[in-house]
Amino acid sequence: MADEHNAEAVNKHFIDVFKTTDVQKHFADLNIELLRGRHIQDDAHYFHRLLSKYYIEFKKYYEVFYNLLLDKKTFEGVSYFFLTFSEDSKGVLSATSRHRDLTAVETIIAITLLQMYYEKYFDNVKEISFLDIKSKIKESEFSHLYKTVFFKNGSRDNFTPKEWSNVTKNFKNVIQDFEQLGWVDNVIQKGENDFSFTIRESIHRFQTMYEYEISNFEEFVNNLDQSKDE
Amino acid sequence: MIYILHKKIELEIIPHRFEEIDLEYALDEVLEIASIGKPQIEKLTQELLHFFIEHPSNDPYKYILTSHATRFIDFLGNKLFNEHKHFPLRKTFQNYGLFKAKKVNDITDFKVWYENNFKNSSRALIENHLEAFKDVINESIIRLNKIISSPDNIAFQNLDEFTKLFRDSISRSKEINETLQLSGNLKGQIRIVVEYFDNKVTSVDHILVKKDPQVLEILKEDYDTALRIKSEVFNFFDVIKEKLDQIIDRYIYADKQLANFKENFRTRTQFQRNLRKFLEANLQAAVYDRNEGIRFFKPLKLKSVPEESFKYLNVKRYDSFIKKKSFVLEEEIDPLYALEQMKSASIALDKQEEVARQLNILKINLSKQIDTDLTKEFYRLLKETNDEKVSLKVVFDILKYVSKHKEYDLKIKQDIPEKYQNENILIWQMNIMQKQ
Repeated sequence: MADEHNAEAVNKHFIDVFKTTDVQKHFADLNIELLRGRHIQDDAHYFHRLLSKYYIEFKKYYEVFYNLLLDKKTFEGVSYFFLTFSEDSKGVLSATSRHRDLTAVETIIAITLLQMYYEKYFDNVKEISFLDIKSKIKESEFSHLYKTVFFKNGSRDNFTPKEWSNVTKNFKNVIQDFEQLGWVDNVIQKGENDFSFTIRESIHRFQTMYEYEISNFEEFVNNLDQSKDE
Repeated sequence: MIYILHKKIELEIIPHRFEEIDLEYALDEVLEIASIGKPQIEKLTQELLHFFIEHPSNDPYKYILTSHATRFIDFLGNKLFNEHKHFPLRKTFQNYGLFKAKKVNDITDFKVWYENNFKNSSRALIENHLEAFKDVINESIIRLNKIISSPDNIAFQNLDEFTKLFRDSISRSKEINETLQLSGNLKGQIRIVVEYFDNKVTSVDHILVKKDPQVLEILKEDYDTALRIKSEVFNFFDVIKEKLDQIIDRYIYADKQLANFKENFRTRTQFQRNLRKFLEANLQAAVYDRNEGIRFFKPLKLKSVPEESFKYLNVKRYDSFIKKKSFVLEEEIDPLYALEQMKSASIALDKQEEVARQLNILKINLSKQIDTDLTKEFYRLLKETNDEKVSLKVVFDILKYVSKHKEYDLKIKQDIPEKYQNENILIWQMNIMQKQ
């Protein structure tokens, strides 16, 4: 009886939340951003505040109406919110036009950005320019592999401006998709062949997606090799 | 190259007015230390001529360094060697930057203090100290990043030793901060000076101004000058404070990260090693394909994100690393909808055909009869076609036809004939007469 009473109180509160002025003012836009896959960090002040204040109620809202999980993570003292799927269902967004898989190139660029984030671990602003990425492709320990993937030729040292221009353009497209996800911001064109952007703490979400694979790397590689042999 | 030329002139190896051969030798020296391709000397000279070198007057075949080049060298010198940072900031500021308002008697005194003791001395000194502090913090952060990104363990061994150096570097901010605190005193004295000139304007003798209006103008000018100096000095300290705060923020963040890193040293290093391997594994599993773009040829599981579309135009996502192709997209047809559209189109066509047929018959009749009762024709059409739209269209078109042909006259009687008064559509009596 007491449980029923409590549940009723929670439900009543759940509905009341959507009648408050701040929720009525910002929730419609916030809802769109979340459903479009955006990760909400504290610089989106009103959205972040709303999510922090009504996290339990909004979590329930997405669970009941969308069968989605509203999640919150904290990384390096910065909290961010996002919508995600449960293991067995993509909820209301199950139709292929309403969710997407990260592509191979996005996955590779996201790992590269994550590594660059840690390489700038002590910088309070993790600003990256395409020239930093270019030097990774040309000079890093995986230069040969990067060149094979992006230029189809790992042994060449020099590439024509046209070839670079193509890679720059395609990299920028991916970065702009990440901007939509909220993993980077301040994408600024700097001259014809360079652009810069800032990696945000929410790139950590990508890390959590592959947490198991990264933490259990040997197992991951074994599984990969086994499935290849099959 | 500019630095080499400047140094050679300073050491009197080449004259102040140098020649093209001196430019070529300086370029050779640059090429010895920098691994870059040799540029064309003519092109390079043209580029330098914009800002760094110029022809002396009356000597178009020789060159001199511009004043911009000299300032550039000074800037480089400060940046590289930062000689000013060795001057004690607070003491110098106390000796030269501060002044007593009561010593200012006229605007010239204040201007002299601003130009000599502030602008060219204290301000430059504070800026240089700040620049030096910024360099120290930036270099430390770069070094810390390098240490923890290094795959070997030797670098980590230096971390403790470097941590001490890093934490000592913040002491530089102390002197700048103390100097900024002293600026409070300076600001107070400046306020007194501005008030002094303001009072001079407000308390000016009106009889004197009437005699010589120039007196008031001069006092106002003095006040404006004092106000301008005040605003420049105050702005300068505001900017310095802001810049200092930014650098201190960078330091605090780095220091916090350092503590985090040390606390999670083992997990963090293990994670970074695995992340490196994970990147390598993903790169090894990917292949560039002209048609499909970059794809994994090993069974790596791709992760999903929500992407609800809130636009009516849904552009299909293509992997951008694909060679561009043009496609003809076949339109999808809904058979039921298509059938409906076909039917309605065919009905419309049938109606048009019927209108044309009836119009032709009526035109032939018109030419044969002297008097055609159009009202009667309308009700006949209505009965035959059972479609008021067709009947109205035929009558409307025939009226247009008659109005264009002079051999016909149209007579309209504003009466509804008795025999048609029970019809659903009522029209006046209309007759088309053929002229004799």
